[in-house]
Amino acid sequence: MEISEKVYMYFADLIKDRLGIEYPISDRYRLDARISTLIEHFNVDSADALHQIYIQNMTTEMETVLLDLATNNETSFFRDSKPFDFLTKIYIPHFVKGSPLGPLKIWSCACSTGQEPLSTIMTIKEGFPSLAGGFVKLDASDISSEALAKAKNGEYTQLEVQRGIPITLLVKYFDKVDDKDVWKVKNSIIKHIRHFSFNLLTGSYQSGNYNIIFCRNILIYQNKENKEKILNSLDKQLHQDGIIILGNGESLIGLKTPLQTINIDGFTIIAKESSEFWSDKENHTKLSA
Amino acid sequence: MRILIIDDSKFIGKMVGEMVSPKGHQFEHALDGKEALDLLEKDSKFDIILLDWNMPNLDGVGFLEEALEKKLHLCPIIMMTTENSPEKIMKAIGLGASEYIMKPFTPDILFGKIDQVTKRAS
Repeated sequence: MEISEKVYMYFADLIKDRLGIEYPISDRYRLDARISTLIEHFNVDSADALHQIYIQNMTTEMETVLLDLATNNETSFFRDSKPFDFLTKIYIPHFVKGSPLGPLKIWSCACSTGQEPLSTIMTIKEGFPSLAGGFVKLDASDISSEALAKAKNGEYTQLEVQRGIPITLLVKYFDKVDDKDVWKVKNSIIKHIRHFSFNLLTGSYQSGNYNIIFCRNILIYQNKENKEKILNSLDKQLHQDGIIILGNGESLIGLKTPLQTINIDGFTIIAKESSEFWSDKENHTKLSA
Repeated sequence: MRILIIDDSKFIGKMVGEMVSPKGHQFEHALDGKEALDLLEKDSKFDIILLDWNMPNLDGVGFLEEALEKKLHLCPIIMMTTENSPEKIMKAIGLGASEYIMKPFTPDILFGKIDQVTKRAS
């Protein structure tokens, strides 16, 4: 499908304006594929025809479909095991010891279709069964309404559940939907999660006081200004000794934030510069031990 | 890594072989549980077994039961089958299977499961 530079830039600029995500022309295959999906979705003949209907009368539905497609919803259960190993072996034992009354507050701020918060709850249920009974509050948000609807519903195809979930956890925490190759997460798991729609760039942040914020594979799509804006907002949502977990390859390098990078046993976490606990390197050693 | 595929479908054997060979893994293909047990008596140096459920002569569950009865200390076994009820999954796990792949599957699922069981075994 032929997509002119003019049409490409229209959608790239619109997405950047609404979400802050950049689709540079030098890397155009990423957005070309999404524009082609839109052409099929709206059943038009060409990219130019799609462009025309958007500029003439962009409905809320048309905007939602575009923004859903523009956000990266690719995810899987236990995607990259390191954060979950860090929680199980280091952070939660420390938390339980230091703040036995809880609750442990976690925010999966770009949860996509829900695999990350479910993986987190399963990790806690398996490793710390006493914590899961009310001492964990897990918030899960995403900008994509389509992704969030799936996360709330908790139904996954057989292919999706086989990506990352050990089989014993699958049969323990999911029910197979009769006569379908679909698995639905049990209420005993999903009841711990509060889902809501949220735009990290434009949303009204409430006071979160989170112990852990997962913000993986979001900053990578943002420009410097937006990265700083998001991280500064997340900083205000963080408990004084809380941590932010970024995706592989995401870092604070070159960014102005009130945050610091800490490496514990080869795993990188982000914490407040003002945190006395995380600023004391002896504590890093204690946690590694 | 040496992988033993136990499946009565020559197509599955070929397909899985084509998935694992480019990663540098070697593989053997047995067409049922009995053929696999005969093979393992002569050569047990496999790192992973991929085991189908429904096969002639000796099916996957029969293979697991005989392996238990004969006290064969086998490498990690991953079931690879269309059987996908929780009851059947638990039965296979109870008989010693380490992981479970439900057909159809994609290469990333196969390698993800192999990765899971080898990490657990190490």
